[in-house]
Amino acid sequence: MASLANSWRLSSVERASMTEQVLRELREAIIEGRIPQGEPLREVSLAGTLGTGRSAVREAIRQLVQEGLVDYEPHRGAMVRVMSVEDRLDVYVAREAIETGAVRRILAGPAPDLTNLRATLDDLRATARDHDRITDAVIDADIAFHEELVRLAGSPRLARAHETLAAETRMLLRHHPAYPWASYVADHAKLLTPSSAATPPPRSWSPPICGCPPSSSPVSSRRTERRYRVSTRLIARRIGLGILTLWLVSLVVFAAVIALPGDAATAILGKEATPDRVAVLREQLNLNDSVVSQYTQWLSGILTFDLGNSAATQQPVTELLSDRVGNSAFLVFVASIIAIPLSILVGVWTAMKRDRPADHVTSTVTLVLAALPEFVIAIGLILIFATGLFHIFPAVSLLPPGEKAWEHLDVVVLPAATLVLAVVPYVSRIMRGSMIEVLESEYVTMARLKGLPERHVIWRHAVPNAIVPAIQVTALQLAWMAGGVVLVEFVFQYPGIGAALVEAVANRDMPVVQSVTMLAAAIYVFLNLAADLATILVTPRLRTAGR
Amino acid sequence: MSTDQTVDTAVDLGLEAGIEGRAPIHEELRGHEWLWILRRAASLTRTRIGLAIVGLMVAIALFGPLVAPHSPTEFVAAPNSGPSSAALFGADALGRDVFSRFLHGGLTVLWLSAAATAVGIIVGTTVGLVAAYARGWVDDVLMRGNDVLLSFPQIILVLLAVSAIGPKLWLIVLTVGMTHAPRVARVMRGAGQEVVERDFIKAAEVVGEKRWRIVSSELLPNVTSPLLVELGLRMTYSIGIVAAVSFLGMGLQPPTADWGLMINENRLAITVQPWAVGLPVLAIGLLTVGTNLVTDGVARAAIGLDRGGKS
Repeated sequence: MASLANSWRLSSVERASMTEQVLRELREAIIEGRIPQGEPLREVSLAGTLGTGRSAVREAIRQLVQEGLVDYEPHRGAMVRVMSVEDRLDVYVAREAIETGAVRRILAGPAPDLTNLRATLDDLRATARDHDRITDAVIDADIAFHEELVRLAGSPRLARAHETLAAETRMLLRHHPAYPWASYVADHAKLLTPSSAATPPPRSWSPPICGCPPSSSPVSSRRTERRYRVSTRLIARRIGLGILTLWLVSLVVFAAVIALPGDAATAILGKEATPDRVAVLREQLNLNDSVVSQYTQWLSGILTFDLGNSAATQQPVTELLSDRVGNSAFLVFVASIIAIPLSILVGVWTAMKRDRPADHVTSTVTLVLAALPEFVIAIGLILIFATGLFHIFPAVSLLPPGEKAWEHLDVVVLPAATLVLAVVPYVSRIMRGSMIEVLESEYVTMARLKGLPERHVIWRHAVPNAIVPAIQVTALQLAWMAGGVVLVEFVFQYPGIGAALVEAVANRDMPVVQSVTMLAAAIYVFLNLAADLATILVTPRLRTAGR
Repeated sequence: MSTDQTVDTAVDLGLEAGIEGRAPIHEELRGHEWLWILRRAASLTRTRIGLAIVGLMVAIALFGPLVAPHSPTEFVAAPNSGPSSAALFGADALGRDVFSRFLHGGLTVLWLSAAATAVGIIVGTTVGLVAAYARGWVDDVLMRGNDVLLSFPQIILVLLAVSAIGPKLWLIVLTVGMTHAPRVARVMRGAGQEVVERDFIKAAEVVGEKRWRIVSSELLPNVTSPLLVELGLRMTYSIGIVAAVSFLGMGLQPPTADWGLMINENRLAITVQPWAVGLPVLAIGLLTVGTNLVTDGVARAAIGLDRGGKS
């Protein structure tokens, strides 16, 4: 008994190391593709080729089944697993769950010791520098990095679960290196940023798993948590640029007064003006001071909402414009809350009906509408709905003095409809394109394979991702409305800032012109900034790693 | 319907068509990709419809004054009177023949917008390509300037200039062009940045070619497809803005016959004499729709080319 036990233990050691060697040999051959996918692995012939016992081969195959590289079916034996798209995606799903969980644990605990992780990153960087594509050495360094990351969580079970995925990851990286090489190291480096900042990541945060398609996690979780510490610097930089642009804009607007030919006061009042009036206006515009001092006075006036007096009516500009700003804002607001959901609906609908008659008709209509200048649309609407065919809405939007636009909704209908018709073509076209791209992506395919109802796939998975590119265009279109209202308000004689601007330009009422221009530019800068920030916040950009 | 579908499938098949059509480019059409794009665009139905519309409107603008029954300033009928034998589409607010003024009024819109487009495209392309090629601080400064101009809605920047200097035609051409320039520059910079990376640019640098020559004869010929699309797009918008400025009364001044100005003069009488407003509005609308259809055809042809190029 004892001798048997001895010999058994001896052979066990020997066999374990033999198994290890066979395992390594087979694993490499499978990963490198020397044994093609779907190829049966027969114990007898393998044992013969490798010159080992059948038991070592059997042991190794069992291990490979564990690692997911080999499939085992009773009565049919073992064969190298065929990695379908779903399998590939599934590896990433599992890794995302494990690695995200690990990182969350790391960040929840005390500050982690990152020296090892840094070392593996440096390793990866050094290895990657010598290669121009993904090679075995790079894959090794890559996997070492991710294993170190999971190890930091201090959970042996997480680490073990992660290790079982290593072989499959290796295989994926080897055969489907969809990851863009350019951002390979940089994206790994980004992983360190939140860890060293030691702030809990937002729930949607996910590590850059090489070659991983964008995660299909519903956006709802993104909305609940908007903090995204990684991009604080980016956001600060973006805000700084916005302020700089606005300052430069103020220089351009101010330069308009300097550009008045000859004496600005005479230019505004005309040649017949009495010297007294010219002198008063010169005083108002601070024309007796130096240009620099004129500018600083003007700028500080704007910053304190003291916009000076209208050259035409002598009324303070703020008083003159306050009601009109409200009216214009109401008009733009009504137009936006109709136009934005409508464009999304049209875009999604046409993307789903792609290349069918409905899509072609919509595409032609949007092409025509996009071409038409807004005043042409406005006059067209008047001819159809106000004076020509029907007499439903008023052709002009005159308001009794002192009353607000929202007290007379009928006067808002046609101006708002004009803006909607001008904006929807652009946004819906972008939405359609972005939606088509998303519908063709692997994660939508995966959501469908998971058996989710189509409605759920479209509205929870596809649309939220497709909206991101549309944010920028929407902001641009909203900003465009700040200029678009000028013509629309003029056509309908709607009492807003646009109509005020046209009047002021005709009267050369520079304080009013400058104020409205400054306002429109500020709206543009602000909306653009808001769109950029929104894009940063809703795009966990580590997920944009590409397919 | 079926023709329209052919157009769209043609675009989706652009891949194959691109490969097929790609070969001759390297031999006979090298450096003349724009010719190839235009040739391909001309085979699309929507381009043809667009060209027909634009051709009609240009013909009206050019030859209209020759065939107009009356002088644009002649009093022919009672103000705001409807269509009659004396005036086919009635008379305007000052009793002038609407049809004659319509035939006379297209030329100003056309040449002003063509000139503005030229300014915008030339300035924008230069700025964009120089920024793409120079990189560094030159790029930063140019793009910051771009951002500033982009912050103004186009019509508002034009109005700002007009309020300062007055309703001069050269000023309108210049400012409309300058509002296009940053938009063109942004596109051309993006297209240029891709080309700058390629080997033949480095080769030209090694040979010691002058920098402006690299930009003009190496970079420019390789960004013709976005350039063509921009050209069409800017022309469409130019027509809209130029007409709008006249419509606001800040462009051409009475008694000139001009489509934009006609709308301004007659809009208060739109209920009694809709023709005086409707005719110029229709003309401007058709013109912009026509240029946009052509642009869309060119864009589709260019995409086909790009797809062929990548594969």
